[in-house]
Amino acid sequence: MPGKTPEEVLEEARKLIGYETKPYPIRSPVEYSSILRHCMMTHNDNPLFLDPEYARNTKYSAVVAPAFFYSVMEGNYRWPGEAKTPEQTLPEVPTPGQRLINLATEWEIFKPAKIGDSFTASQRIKDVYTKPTRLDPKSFWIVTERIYRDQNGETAAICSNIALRYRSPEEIEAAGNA
Amino acid sequence: MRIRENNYEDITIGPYHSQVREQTCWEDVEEGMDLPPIEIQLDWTEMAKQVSGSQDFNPLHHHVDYARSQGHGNPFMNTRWHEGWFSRLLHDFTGPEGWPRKFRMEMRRTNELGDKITFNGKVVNKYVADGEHRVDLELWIDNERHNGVSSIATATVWLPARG
Repeated sequence: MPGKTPEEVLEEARKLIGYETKPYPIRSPVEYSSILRHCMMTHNDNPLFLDPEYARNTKYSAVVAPAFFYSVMEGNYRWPGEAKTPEQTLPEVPTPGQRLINLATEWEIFKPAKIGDSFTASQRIKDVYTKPTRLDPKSFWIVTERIYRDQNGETAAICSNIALRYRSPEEIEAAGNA
Repeated sequence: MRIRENNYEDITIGPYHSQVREQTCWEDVEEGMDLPPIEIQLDWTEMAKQVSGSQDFNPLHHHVDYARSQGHGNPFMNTRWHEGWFSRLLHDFTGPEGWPRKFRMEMRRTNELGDKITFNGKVVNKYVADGEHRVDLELWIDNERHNGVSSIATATVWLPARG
């Protein structure tokens, strides 16, 4: 928002607190190959996540995904045909800086994701505030929440995320280091 | 690192395969016990696996020039990589009959290409609540470049009980 102080931008940003999207479908049902790639990333050969024969004899009776796999299923990028409607899309929170880094996540897990499960997600803006960091004395802290529901509409997991939006050193200097 | 024909076991799993096959029960856990540490060198193969396993294509996590243009020294590991690895520690601890319930993670410093890191964890509390046998853990990543901790986490898991 050119010409506005961080305080003025914050006032605009905080008007979005509480905004919640309608649910949107997660890319695909829980599938073996994406769990395999996740396990390769974490050097994990746990048969609960990889071996249908082993998993059949556990209480889950099927391969399950590791606990925080929901965000992996969702992915960051939408392919053609996956586009969300405006009602399914979280509005961009206005911030003075455009640099971004993720700081923290918090999960509550209610049930594991099993092969064949399909999910929807909805997002909510929980909070926006400024707090100085070594990157920017007027860093914007943006707290969002994602609720994952399974094909029966039951809540499977809730994830809160804290991301930091901050200005470049040049932008901070142009603002008088404030 | 030897690549066997038609078998990428050395790359994909390496020496870090899951430690646990037997079930941990709540009675087996003692407050203060440590989880087995896991040490990793963050080379380009780990960066590639991070992108593949997380499906996060943000260039901060794989593009050197872009990461540096945003003020970072090198591409750094993304959120889902951290979550994935912490879940690996938790699932190794809980075994197939237990499961993580709550988790909170803070990425205080970046874990970047070229870093040598170690995942650690320890049990800090065990108790019964709402009919569940629960264990609280603290997890963290030691990073040689930072000469200290880069990311921290806390978790609550539930375990089966014999009694």
